[in-house]
Amino acid sequence: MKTRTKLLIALIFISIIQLTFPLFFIAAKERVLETGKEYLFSIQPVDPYDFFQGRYVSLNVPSLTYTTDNPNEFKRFDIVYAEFEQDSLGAKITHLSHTKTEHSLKLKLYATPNKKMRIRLPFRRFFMEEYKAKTVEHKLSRSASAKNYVHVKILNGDFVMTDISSNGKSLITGKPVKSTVLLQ
Amino acid sequence: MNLKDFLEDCREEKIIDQPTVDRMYAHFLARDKQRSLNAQKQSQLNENRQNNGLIITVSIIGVLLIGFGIIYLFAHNWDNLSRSTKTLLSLLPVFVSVIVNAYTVVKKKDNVIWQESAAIFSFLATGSMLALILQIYQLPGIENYFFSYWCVLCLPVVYLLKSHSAVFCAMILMLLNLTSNPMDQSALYKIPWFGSLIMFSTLIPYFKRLFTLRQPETLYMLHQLFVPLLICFSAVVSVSGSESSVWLILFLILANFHLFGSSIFLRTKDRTPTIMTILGYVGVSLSLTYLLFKENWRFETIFQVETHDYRLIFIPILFGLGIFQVVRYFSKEKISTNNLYKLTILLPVPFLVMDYLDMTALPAYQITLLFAACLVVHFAQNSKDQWQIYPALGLITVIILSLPFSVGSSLNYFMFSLIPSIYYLAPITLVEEKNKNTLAAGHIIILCFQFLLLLIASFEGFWIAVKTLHQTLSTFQLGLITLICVAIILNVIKVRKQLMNHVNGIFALFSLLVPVLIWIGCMSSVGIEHLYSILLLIIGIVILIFSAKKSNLTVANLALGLIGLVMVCRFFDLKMSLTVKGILFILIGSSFFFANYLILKSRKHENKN
Repeated sequence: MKTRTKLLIALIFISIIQLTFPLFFIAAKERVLETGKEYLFSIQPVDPYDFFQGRYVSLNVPSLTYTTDNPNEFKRFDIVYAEFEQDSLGAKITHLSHTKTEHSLKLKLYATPNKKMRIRLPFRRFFMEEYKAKTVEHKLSRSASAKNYVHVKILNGDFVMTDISSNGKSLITGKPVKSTVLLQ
Repeated sequence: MNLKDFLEDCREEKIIDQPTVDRMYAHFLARDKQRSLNAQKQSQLNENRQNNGLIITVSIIGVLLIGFGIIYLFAHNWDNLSRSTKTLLSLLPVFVSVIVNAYTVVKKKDNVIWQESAAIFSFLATGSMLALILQIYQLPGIENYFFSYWCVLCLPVVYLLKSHSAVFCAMILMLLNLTSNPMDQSALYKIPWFGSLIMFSTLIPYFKRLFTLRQPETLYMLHQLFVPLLICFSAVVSVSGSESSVWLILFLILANFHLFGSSIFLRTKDRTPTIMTILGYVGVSLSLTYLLFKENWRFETIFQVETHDYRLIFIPILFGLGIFQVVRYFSKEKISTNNLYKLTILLPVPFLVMDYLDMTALPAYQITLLFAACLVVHFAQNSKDQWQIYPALGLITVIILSLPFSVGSSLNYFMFSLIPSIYYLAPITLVEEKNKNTLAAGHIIILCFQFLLLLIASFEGFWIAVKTLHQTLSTFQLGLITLICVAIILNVIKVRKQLMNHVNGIFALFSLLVPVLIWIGCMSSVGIEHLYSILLLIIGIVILIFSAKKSNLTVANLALGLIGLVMVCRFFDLKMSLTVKGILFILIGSSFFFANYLILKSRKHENKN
């Protein structure tokens, strides 16, 4: 009986951890969604499959370039924070530093720092209902003037992807996006 | 006569009186009843155990299917549900698993079926919850510690529910965790394998319990195999440094497992090798050959590693552990020829130092490895230990194979021809006395390889191709081959008695003859390919006569097959002159008649006896 109660107490403890751990995770991400600032990054998606998480759209975000006068400030594999500015061709990096600001994104420098750095963005996959994901590639407009974007909310280094859109139309709901960011 | 009649008889003969008869008979009946009851109980118990095993397997499979069903349902990506609904939905299986776990702990404490099913369900429920939550926030699992979280959240289940299948789940997750590549590497996680290592160390109490109790036996055997394999795979998967350092770590891990498998902790009472020992022995032999194929080992670059790669720490740790185990082993055991090979962990050390100091270590390494392998074979022949002979022979084989790896020389074919001969000649001491007139399956395979070598040599085109190889072996490599040949000859002299005993020594002589003939072919400037086919035929006929005498059908079939093959080959070999062809075919035809006649004669002779 004694070992049983001990086991039961341990079990309750572990169950609480199992159930609360994701809640912390969820809370952090919800905060980004509530108060984060939205940016749009241009994309060229395709759709593969993940065994555990299902069908997704591989976003294929082109690397951004950042020009700096003193590249010695950064080392390879450093964790840095980037600030962005929106324009009609997608978000661009305006500032890169080691300090966190409100609307900066945490990044890892994969390339060796130069005066003109190529910076890889961490937006890789967008999970979707399987039938939708299959048709996303066809839905995206292929013309050169088309604007395909992933919508990302950024807050204190963290980010959440909220939507992908093509020519101002959401690919998830099919409705025009009511973006806070003005696009021409 | 049954007991009652016997007792009646005794009473009539006045050996015992009536009350004694009654008492004796009553006692007999009582004992009989008890015995039959016991037997019934035992058989019921056995049946139960069998049924239990079946039910456990079926229920585990059922739970696995349900769990994967849940994962698949979630993987559908329910876009039309709101985020909060999806979050609640993802927590649902975990709630269920918690309830099942609690029920198992409280009500079904000793029920294996409930324990295993609850553990597996707990694993899968947690996995599906994490997968769905990461999916809601568009985070790919591979870049976000998915497997680490999963494994850490579920590991307590192993101990809480005393589940064995949960250990396998955890081990798989640890291996998968090595493939994840999170961008955001916090201080603890600068090294991807670090998490897996910590998680594995939490399983050590489980393995300690399993290896000391040795119960349940199947799992004890399985984990002897799985634990070393998991660790070796992990070492290979988490590679990013130079190849040499990875090789060194792999070698040290395998050597350690070999020593651990033969330590007091694991070894069997009669000292038969455990699975872990065998795995370690074979693995060490194979990993030792890796360096033979590399001209530049590049151990001088071993310290030039990328930042945050702390794998090098393992080299001294593993080496120290190995030395500790060796010292411990020899503090309890006397050094003898049977356990000298345990020192193999020290073997590569001087060469690594040589290479690090920019000296060419390869020739010395080849020579040492060859001598070491020959010594192991020599001592293992005396003690008839097949677990030492075969890996050592494998080592010699790879040494032979590694020589032509970089040099295209006309002697290469001769080197290949040495391999089957070694395999025939060295393990002959293992052949039991009673099969000295028959050929084991292994021997037949070796003979087929030798026949194949000669058959290939009997084609003219083959020799034309060989003669186009113009590179020559260095004097050192030639010396090495001579050494191997000398070793073979010495071995033949050593075991000549067994060789002569076994099928009259015919195949032993043949094994020696094949390399000699092929060497002649390699060296001579004139084409002697016809000689090979004539020789093959003569051998076929000799074997046939021999088999007819002993009326051994296996050997007879081998000989007939050989003759048939030679015939087919010569039929397609169009460049041969018609006279030679004619003579060959006449020879073959008459030999067939002769063989049939002999076999029939011996059969009749036997029937008469």
